[in-house]
Amino acid sequence: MANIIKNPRNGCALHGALQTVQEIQGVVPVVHANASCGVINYLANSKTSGGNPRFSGYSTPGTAAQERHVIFGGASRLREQIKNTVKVVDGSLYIILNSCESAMVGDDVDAMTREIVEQGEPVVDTLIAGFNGSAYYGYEHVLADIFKSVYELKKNEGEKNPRLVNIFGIIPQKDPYWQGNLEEITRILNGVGLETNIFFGADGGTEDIENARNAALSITFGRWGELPAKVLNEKFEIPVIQRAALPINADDERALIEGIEEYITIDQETKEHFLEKEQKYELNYWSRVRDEIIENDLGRTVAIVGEEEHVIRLGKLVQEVFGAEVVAAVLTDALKKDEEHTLDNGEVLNSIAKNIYKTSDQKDINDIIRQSKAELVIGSSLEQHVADKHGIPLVEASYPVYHKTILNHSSIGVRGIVGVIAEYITAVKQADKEKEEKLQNKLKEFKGQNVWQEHSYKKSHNVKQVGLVSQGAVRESI
Amino acid sequence: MSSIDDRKALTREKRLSSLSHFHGTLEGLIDETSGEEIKQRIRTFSQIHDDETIYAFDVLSKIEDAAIIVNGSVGCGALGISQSNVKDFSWYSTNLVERDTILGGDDKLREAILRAYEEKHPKVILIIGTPVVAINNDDINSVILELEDEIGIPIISIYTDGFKTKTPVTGYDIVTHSLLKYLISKNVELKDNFINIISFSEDIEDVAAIAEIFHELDIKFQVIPRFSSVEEIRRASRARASVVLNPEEGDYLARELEELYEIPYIETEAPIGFRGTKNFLLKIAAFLNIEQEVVDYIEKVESELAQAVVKDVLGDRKIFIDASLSRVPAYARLFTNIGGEVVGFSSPFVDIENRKQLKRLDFLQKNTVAIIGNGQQFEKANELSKNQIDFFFSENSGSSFATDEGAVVISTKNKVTYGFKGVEDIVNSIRKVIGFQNKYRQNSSYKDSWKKRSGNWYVKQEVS
Repeated sequence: MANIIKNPRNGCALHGALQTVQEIQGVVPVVHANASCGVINYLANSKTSGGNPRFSGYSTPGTAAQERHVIFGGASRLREQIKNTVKVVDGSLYIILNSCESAMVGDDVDAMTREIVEQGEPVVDTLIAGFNGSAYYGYEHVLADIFKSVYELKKNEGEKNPRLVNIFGIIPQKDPYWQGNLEEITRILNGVGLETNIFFGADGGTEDIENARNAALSITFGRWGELPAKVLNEKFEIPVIQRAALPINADDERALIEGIEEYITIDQETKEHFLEKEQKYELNYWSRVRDEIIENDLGRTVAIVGEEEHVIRLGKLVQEVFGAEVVAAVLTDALKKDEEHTLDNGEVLNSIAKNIYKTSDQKDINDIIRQSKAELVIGSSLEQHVADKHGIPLVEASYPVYHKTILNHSSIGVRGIVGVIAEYITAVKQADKEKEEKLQNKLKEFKGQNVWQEHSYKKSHNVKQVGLVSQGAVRESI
Repeated sequence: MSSIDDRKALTREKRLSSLSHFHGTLEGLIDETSGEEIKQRIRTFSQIHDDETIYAFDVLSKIEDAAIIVNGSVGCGALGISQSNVKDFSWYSTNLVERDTILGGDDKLREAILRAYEEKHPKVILIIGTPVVAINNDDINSVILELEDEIGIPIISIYTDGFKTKTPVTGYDIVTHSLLKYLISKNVELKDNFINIISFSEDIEDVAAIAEIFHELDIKFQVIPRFSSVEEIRRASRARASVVLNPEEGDYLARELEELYEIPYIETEAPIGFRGTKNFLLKIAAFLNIEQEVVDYIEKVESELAQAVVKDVLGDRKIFIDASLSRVPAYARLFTNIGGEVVGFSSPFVDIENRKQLKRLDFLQKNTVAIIGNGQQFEKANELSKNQIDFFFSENSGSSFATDEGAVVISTKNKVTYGFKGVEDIVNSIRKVIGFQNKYRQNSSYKDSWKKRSGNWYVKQEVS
């Protein structure tokens, strides 16, 4: 039995499917649900960091199903909605999304889709319901469902492109840096003469969906993305490379490119020249901060909260760059029992973190952070309160990130990772400054100044600490 | 007659015959809504919009020392993410999955209640209903009955379901009904000297602007239910009187307090613009017998403001108002006074209570465009493009679509619209946006063929 979740952050399968297709330029989503299922996702995401695409929130077509559709079925309302959507809204692909409500009622969404497709309209559907899983599940399944049926609509096969690579696993909105990360992975692969199908964001679009079948290779970063890559493999024999995480340095980029070379020939001179430049860029920035790293003892104990791919990537980063020790890793996207994926990152995770937990429950996460005695937290804005409570600096890197706009900033590759390094150093420096101020005050206290204020501060501080004793075991609640 | 004895609040459609689907003219809308009942309509193409669950969650999440459980699938629980990480705010989802839709989610609700109680030590636990629970017909009351004695605090079911009403404001009615029935103190012997300021949807900027005026006039007040505490809600029945910031949202609570606890309801209009704010304050002044102080205050503030507000700031430009119907007349008068021509408005709903606002629009042309609907940007796009409207004044999120239709957007988000300060803020923001938003203009999301059609093409009579 899935557990109660405090402060659930992962949304549902409908939310994942919706925010995925919304970010494909040219796609018009049609939500078959009660009025607000899609709005909830919009309200949540618009308070976070990445801006809104054209068809999101109140511009999204949807059936806004009412009681009569629950009692008598909503299929005819859906038929009417699809028919009118293609007349009102400009799009090159219309995607019908299902919901808890229509799944429970048992609406024949598929039949309605077939009907309009027979009239020559570009419409596909996905039958996953909200309660089937999280937004990560929604991302994978909607892409898999699109690839299963879209090529029936788009008969023009086009030509195989021996240099084209499909990119999966960078999840719109759920990765706060998704736009920049797609751009960075494109920059890296373009650097060695490859082209990318990234589907989402400024350079993505429905053409990428059409071209996906002509790619020479699919790459999945992390667990989420395996399903759509598998569909393309089964239908068009496109080979798949699975990487545990996105690259963080020139060595990772080399490993990625060499993995690709097993399937696509890459000009060696171009490759070496590109990687040399990457190395130079990396060394420049890393060496600029090496004094700070060495002299400020930045190798703190760290707790990382985020999806598995983030934990692997950022855990490796803090180990390699700062000599930090990851004392706790919380995988917020992990499944209790994963029967859909073959990727097993157990070994990689064990090499990164001392203790690994699977939960998205806020109380569990707060307890883990507290018990870990971490000196720095990498997580979402939801960890702000526990971090503040214990005076631990927080680097915000996973969903949701509030009060910060992240557009084309990246957190991967030699260029993107520089920003993460800077944020880590900034967070530690600010915390150290506060510590220094406290020590100065303490010194004054020892010298006999400000005695009353300091005693009163200590007293209230101690009272707070008593209430923080950890309680209960950590639940596996996903 | 009070409906407090009913198990749950009626929908706005049932209680006040509310209509959420109309597209035509002001004259047509007055005609359509003038009978004893308002005929229902539907849209055969629609865009997704808020529902009563979102409205209920939004207002309840602003109540201190309450614990909220969203009883449904984990996606409905994402509602809490939209609360911007407010300090100490947390919420729970019962995380219902497919198995629970078959076997029922009672056990999970029980577990969630106990957890919320143990972890947060709240003064009340509020359970928000969602579609899955409503379709499943889970027995929430048995769980409440069983646990209320055990934990000794009120556990209140908020009977939202997401599909029984087309009027999201029903969410406020459901909250009102539950608070009246289970939380507001029934001990009416003790009376106090404060006024209940009833607020459901207002942003903190607007509530603070009104609170500042009350403070300056030395009127004791409390704000309920938004930005309140459980204790403040409890003592609402001890107030000297109630006043509502947006009548179409708070009328129900004010009237019930009057009927059940004899708390006078000072009926007034939304405090928007010079005239609206003045009327709002004078009504309160008359009740409190402090007319002279209030007149002096108004004169002082008005004379300061008059210098800041230029009469012809809109320079005969055409403006379309996208706002709650209770606020449309005040905005329309303000824009007319500063030189604009109001050529259309859109509001989420009209019912037999707030339809009186339409009469207050008698200074507008009869053929002024009138759209009634939650969201439905495509219909607004149709009119904006057809009528070459210069300004789109909107209270709603996602209003930038109007730039694609050639209009400049003035948003009320993150600014004060209430009180005299609101006048200054609105005028200043008009000055700022003139000639600024062209660079955001893109191709319209809507087909030309749609925009050539009549805007009411997809609004049909409901056939039952």
